[in-house]
Amino acid sequence: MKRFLPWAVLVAACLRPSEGHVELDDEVGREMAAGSTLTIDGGLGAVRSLEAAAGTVWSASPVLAVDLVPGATPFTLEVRNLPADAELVVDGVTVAPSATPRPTVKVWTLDAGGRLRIAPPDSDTPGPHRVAVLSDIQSAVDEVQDIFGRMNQDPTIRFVVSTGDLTDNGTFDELTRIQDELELLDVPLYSTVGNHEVPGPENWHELFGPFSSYFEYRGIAYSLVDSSNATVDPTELASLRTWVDAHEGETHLFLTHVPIFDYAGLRSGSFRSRNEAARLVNVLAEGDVDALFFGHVHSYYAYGLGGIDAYISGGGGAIEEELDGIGRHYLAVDLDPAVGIEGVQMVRVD
Amino acid sequence: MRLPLLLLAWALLSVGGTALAQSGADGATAEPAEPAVAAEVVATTELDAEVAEVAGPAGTERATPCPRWRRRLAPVVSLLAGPVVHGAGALTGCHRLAGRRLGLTQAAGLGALIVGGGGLVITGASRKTIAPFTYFAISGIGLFMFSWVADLYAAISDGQARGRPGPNTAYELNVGYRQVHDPQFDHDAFAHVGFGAWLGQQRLFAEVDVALDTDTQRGRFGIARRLLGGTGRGSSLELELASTWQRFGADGFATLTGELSFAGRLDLADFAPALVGSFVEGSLGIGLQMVGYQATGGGVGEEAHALLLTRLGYGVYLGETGEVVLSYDHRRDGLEGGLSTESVGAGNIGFLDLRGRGWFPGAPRWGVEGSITVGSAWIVGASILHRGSLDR
Repeated sequence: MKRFLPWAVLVAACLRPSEGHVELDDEVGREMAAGSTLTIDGGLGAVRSLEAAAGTVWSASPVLAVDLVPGATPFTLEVRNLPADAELVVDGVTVAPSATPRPTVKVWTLDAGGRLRIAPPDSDTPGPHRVAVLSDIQSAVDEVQDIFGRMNQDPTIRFVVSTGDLTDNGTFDELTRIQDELELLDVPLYSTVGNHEVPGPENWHELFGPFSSYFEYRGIAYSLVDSSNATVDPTELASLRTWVDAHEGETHLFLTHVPIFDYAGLRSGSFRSRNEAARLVNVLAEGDVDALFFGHVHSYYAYGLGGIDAYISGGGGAIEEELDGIGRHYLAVDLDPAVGIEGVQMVRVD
Repeated sequence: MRLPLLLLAWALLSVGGTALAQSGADGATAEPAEPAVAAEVVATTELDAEVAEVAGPAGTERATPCPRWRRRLAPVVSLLAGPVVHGAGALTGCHRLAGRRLGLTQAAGLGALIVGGGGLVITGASRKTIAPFTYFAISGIGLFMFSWVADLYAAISDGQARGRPGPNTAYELNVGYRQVHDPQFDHDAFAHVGFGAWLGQQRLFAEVDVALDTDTQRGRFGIARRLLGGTGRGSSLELELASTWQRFGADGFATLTGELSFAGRLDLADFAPALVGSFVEGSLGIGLQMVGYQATGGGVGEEAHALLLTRLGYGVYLGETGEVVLSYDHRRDGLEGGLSTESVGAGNIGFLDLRGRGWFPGAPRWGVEGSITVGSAWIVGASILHRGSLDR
């Protein structure tokens, strides 16, 4: 019997290649060390370090709810990848940051633990806002600075969402490098994982946190779903169903790396199973999702799937699709909970 | 763009014909392989001596005696050197024609792969050029793999295989069961019925899969016209028009696909006598899949997605009563989906299929078929076959 076990494992791995990502997501955002305990609701962040009197978090959402039990006080909490106007509120009291080395990095010194909320003050108030969508940087990490510079010129962008492929191979060094580059951005970037991060899933888990995530900001729901293996794991699909059902009739953006269906079917840079793809579109259409954003294809396409507006945008600098006249770009998406999606604009950088 | 594709299909499926013509130029005859191989069989089986006799002045590729040690060394060479130099095993076994042609096929495969793969990289997989470059890339991989496997086959079989293409009959009925393991869907068990019939040069075919445990059904039907070759299961080229319908009632969608492809089989005895008993299959085509969603109620035809069709297979005849084929199919629109790689290539690979069939010697109109298909799902199938009379 034992000799068949490796084959059984191999078969299972072939059929559910992202199962390991789901298991890692079950553990993300929770850490106990040196008498301290830090737990982020929904796993919306990576606890990069935790000591008795200090901790560092990489945020995967503009809104964080954190349970902190410090091992010693005062406790220094550093949170990276936050909106510039994010505040920390504990027990109804706003705590001023002790340092703000970058607009997206904040350091607070806390005299006690408790239930922390870290978010911009208007994050629960439905209202119009703009986000940018940027994916597929891959090996162009040395050229991405001008894209970030162009984004910084637009003060209306609240944050950037990405469908992944921020690096070429997902190595620890590559992910660390892109996080360093992200500090040039005046706004945070929240991303799911791309197929180019697949070779190093543990690295992504440690540095960026969740493979899939869900958050709400100013009345808009954002689902960032892992399709790095050209499939959505059944466990992840179950989570997505709950997110979709909870916001039926409200404005909801769905972001995933691999297009569910490629605009160009002959190329089929899309899900490994078209039946799975059709089923997923039906789930999203049933839930009245408002827009689908994909990467993976290094161009720009606007089309429709199941009556939902769909956009492919892979303009972060990876090997470009030729003969299309697109080049490097990002999308500026204007949102208003009262209206839905007001507009999607391609911003060329080259 | 269609002309180059047609030419590519033609080139892929008629390698053997070209090779056969070349063999005539080389001085060997273009006689049907069977007599030639039979002569070779006689030559080797009659001898217990150290050296096999020359099979004959024409109709065989062994022009000189082949020492037994070389024939015994051939499989080892094929295993060790064959992956790099395709045809090395055949050459060691004194099958010079096979060795030379397999080497050329390897080179052609590499060339096509470089053209296709290079084109994909240079154009960034542009949708405007994706079809020809993908056809070239997959064909290149197919030719490369074929020449490797065929070399191993030539070295091991030493031209002694007794498998031959069997006849096609007026009709064939296939009734069976499919066990599907797909973590994405609830269906597991399918009843399968297939039917094929010949009307002159036309072949009609239809098949239905019905899930026994969920509300899932699949049907496929089509017509193929044989452009080259007889109606048997030997070398042939067909133009195939087909349609596939799927309904996933519990999952809220249905699909309807129309497709047109060139499909062919090359009996490798026509390529080189040492490869007698084996064959390659391939198809190139294009399709359009229409999808309808329950959520929108638009019905099938709500949206359409093009489909690039490529299939490559290598098979072995089991006597005259059966055959086994291992194939790669680039499509991902069926119950089996596409393979997962957990790499940057995720989503761009089709499925593998191993399929065998055989007819009972005592009851030649009855047979069995078994299959294992691996994509994003596993499908294991078993069927009972029934066919018309063999007097065609």
